[in-house]
Amino acid sequence: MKPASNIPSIADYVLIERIGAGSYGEVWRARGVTGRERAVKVVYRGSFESERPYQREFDGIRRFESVSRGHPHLVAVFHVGRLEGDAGFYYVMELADPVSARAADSGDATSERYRPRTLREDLDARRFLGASELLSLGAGLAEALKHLHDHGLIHRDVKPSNIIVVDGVPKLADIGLVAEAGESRSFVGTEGFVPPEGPGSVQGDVYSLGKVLFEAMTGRDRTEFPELPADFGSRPDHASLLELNEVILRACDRDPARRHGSMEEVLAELRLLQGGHSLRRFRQVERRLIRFRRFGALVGLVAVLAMGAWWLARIDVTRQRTNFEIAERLRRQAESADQRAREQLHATSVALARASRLTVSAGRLGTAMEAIRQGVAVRPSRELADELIGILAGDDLRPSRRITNLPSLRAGAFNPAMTEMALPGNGTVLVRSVDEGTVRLTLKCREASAPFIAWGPDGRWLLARHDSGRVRVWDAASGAVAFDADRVGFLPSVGARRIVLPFQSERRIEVWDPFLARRVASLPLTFDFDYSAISPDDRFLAINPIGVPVFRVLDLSDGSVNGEFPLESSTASLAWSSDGQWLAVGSDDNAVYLWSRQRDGLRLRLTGHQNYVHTVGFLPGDRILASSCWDGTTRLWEVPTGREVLRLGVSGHLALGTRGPRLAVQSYHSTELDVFDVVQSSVVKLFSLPSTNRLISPFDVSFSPDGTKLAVAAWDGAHVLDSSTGVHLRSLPERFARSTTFLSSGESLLVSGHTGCRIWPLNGGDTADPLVLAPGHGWNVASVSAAGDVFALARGEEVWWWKRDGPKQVLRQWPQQFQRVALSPDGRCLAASGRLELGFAVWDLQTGTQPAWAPPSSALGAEVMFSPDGRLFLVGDSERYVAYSTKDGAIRWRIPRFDTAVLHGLGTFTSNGRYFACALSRTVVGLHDAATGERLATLEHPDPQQVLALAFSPDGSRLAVASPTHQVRLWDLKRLGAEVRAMGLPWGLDSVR
Amino acid sequence: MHDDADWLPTRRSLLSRLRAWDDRESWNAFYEAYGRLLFRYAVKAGLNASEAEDVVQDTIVSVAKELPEFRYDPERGSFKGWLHQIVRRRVVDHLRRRPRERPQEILDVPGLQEADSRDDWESLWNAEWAQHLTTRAIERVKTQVSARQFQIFSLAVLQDQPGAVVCRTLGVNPAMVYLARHRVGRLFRREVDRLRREEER
Repeated sequence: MKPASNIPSIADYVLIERIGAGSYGEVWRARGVTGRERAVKVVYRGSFESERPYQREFDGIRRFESVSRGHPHLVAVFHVGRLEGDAGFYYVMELADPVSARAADSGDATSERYRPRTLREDLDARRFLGASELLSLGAGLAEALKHLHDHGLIHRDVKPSNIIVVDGVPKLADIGLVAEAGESRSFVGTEGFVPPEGPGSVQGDVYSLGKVLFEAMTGRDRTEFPELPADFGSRPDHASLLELNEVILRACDRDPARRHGSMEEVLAELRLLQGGHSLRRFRQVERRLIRFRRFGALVGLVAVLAMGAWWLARIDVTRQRTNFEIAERLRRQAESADQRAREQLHATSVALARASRLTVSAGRLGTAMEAIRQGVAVRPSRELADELIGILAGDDLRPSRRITNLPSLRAGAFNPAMTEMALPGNGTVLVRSVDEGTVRLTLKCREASAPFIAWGPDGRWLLARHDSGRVRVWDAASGAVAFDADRVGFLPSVGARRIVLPFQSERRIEVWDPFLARRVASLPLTFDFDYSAISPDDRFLAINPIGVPVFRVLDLSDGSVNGEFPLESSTASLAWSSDGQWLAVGSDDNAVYLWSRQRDGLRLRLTGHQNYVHTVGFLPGDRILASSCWDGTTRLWEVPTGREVLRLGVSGHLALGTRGPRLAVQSYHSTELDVFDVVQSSVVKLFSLPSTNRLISPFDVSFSPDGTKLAVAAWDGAHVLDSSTGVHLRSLPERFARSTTFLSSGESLLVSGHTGCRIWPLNGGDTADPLVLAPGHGWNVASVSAAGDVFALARGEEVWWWKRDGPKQVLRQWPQQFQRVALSPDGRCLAASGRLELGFAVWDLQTGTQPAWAPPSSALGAEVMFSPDGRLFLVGDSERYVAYSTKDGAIRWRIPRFDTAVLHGLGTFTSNGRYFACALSRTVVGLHDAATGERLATLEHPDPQQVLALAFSPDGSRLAVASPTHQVRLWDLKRLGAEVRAMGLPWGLDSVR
Repeated sequence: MHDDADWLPTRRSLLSRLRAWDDRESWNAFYEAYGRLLFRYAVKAGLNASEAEDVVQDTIVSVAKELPEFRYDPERGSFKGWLHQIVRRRVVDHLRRRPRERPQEILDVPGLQEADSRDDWESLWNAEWAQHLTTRAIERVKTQVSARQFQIFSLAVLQDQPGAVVCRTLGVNPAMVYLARHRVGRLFRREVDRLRREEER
């Protein structure tokens, strides 16, 4: 750079002051001979390293000279000349207006000096420009640049400080950088204005102009592009600015191909805005047309239409295009909306099915099935199949019929078979057929007043008591009077072979035999009671003593208290189960109490009713308890879990059929009787174990090789059940049993548990002695090889294994406390696991070392098992099952598990190894393809019981699921598959041969 | 079209390029990336603008000198800590050089009269560093999304304007605001995480 003191001499101009300097030279304010001030740029040859760029610069300005005067928004170059001695060249051009005093008022000495007014100065002073100013600025600059471009020149350095204001008109300056299009230059431009791909192209100038307009519009630095100031939305010309923003965003796209193709396009858009049109709307139409053009067929159609339009010379082609575009868009929208709607319908169906089956409203299964049907119509899916499985596993009440024109049953009663009802007449009791409405018997009472009527549990005896205390008992079959009694208190109780008459005032109760028509016992009574019920075996009487918060069972042979449990409130109703094992009490604290006479006095308090429960009763089979309440509902509860199964929105006289699962409800004062059939699940059977304690159990369940027997390992010992009826066959007194394994074709059962590990013969009768397999106690799970010749057992940190008749060997892996062992089917390998975080161990029993295929034992694993063909080794923890190949250790599949805070439920394979079942969560069982791990079905029982153990029947047609309430649920997979397939839903399990 | 991801150099690539001492463009990039951070730190530490500018220059020179010594060694501290060490030394130099009669200026900077204590320097640096990460992440995100989307994002998230206001300001529908908020927001978080991983390790 030349020093300022060296004032060059320019012909006809007096240089006044240097106003700028750059790498190539200086700019001076100069006065010409006419007195007009001009700017003179002086370029020294010495500033260039070589001749070539200097020459290029010179050529550039000479080309520009002629172009510059052709446009009002380009700084006019008046003259180009050479310096003395060819030291360089200079050119004379328009001088920018001086910065106004206001803008330059910075208070220091420089304000006296000339400063060129540039857009930069303006922006520094005003922050940003208004919309109309911006549009004219943009259009002006775009025109100027277009003019340059049209002459094959590129500006390369459009920025606010290069836009000077001459006589109030913004003009592009610093043409020193102007170059021919495509000419390569080393200069990199000004950061932020230069496009990412570098300067030197039309698109580069478009980008720079966009940035200039961005700064001018927002007052922000170009590096902050595209951020808008916070007050942008509240500027008065916001709408126009938003339109300009469109131009800027496009001009400043990082991808040059997406910018305006030419300055002419920029100009066209700005002009459009200047004319008050909306670019945004225009763009929208443009976009639509582009989309529209993609549709070849429709383009053809439009062409035809365009022809027609032309032919008719009336129709506006553009409008037609737009119309067709709109129609096409609507069609596509409709299609996608249809698709979305279908998916939504499907999802809704799944959700509805799920919601319906999880409620307890009667008829829910019908609703759920309807939802499934709807979903299937959209798309048969596994989700729907899973919901259907859940539905099929649940019970429901199906309205069977409605009997009308009944007299009010306010004081009447159904016989237990619900075929007849006894109604109080005028001095009579009428026995009327429920179905036909005919009166079979007219029984003459001892008084005219309407009596209290009660049937015995088998429908044989009918009792009527008048308020005076007079009682008459009839044989309901013949209508013959059995016996009469007087001064009987409230209320008598009718059993199958005994009738109990209370005489509260005399502090005694009498027990009558209706067959003999005589009193068999008179028992002292030290307390009052109102409700009572005779046990099914006629040996006990359940009563609620008045004023004492207990419930008592009296022995009818001597009047002694046989049992009692505390109640929070007094009794409103009570009932015995048909086996006499359960007592249900409806209480006026809105609860139903379920009391087991055997299981350690298990007592459940069933809550949900909103008023006092006036009627309770067991359905046939004692599996379901019904309760009717003043809250207007009748609820069904599962025994023994106490889970509410169903809810009916009616309440009243409740009758429970003894010949089938049937329930009838007649609302009070109503003349209609609704009869419901209880639909019990056809795919799940529930077996209860005779266990009497309340600890969680059983831990293991297994089928006998022929599939007829089911063995379970429970706290109170091992039990053997008939697998089709659930009838209890044997109890083996092996306390705290942990595993059961059938041996030698089911002739004996290996039970391993806390008290020992023994083989129990099953065919030799109850007296046959067991064979002690391992001495001592504290044993956990046992495992036997497929051939039955290798045994393994876990106890603490030891794993015992031995071949039949061979010496016992002990393996240890401290500090693991082993709980489970698994022998490979060939008996060659042994795996053991215990506490989750301590991992598992695998041994090759021939070498005593870990086999090469075994996964690292550092992996977590609480469950280990081999597939029946020995090809897979499974490790399960609370989050997943992983199947490893026993050939190369490769991971074959993973099954994720969820919601498994407590890990239970060993997985199980079908005997042919094709399917694998495991608990996916605490309560849900998944059925999988054992080769791929793919889930085929999900078994979710309506009763969310924890899954403790699983076992496939040998033919794979049934799956036993042990749950902690001493129950085993038996899923009939064959039937389930048939039902699922019948609904047109996928079912991936073939029957197992 | 060039690769957007390479547009802003990552610290790693930048530093390895800086080792070639004469790569001016890389130094420019370094200045672009860290200049603002260093300047703001110096100003907050009590220097005036020209002193702060000096600090930036001095720091970059120091970085150039010490760079060959710096290795990616997690044991020896992060790049963040290393850069702080350098810039703090430069700031302290400037503060020491000041005539005694000008302590008032330092006192005027809240919280920094005590800047001798290590914690204050650290917390100042951490605050500026966080700002730096945000700025850098924004710069990078800008190159990855359309300007239109970024505009929505900057109003809705960076300026925290209510959705309805953004819709009105930009003439867009709520779905677009939602989309920009989430898509750009996700990228933004990803970038911050990435920068953290790179520069704080």
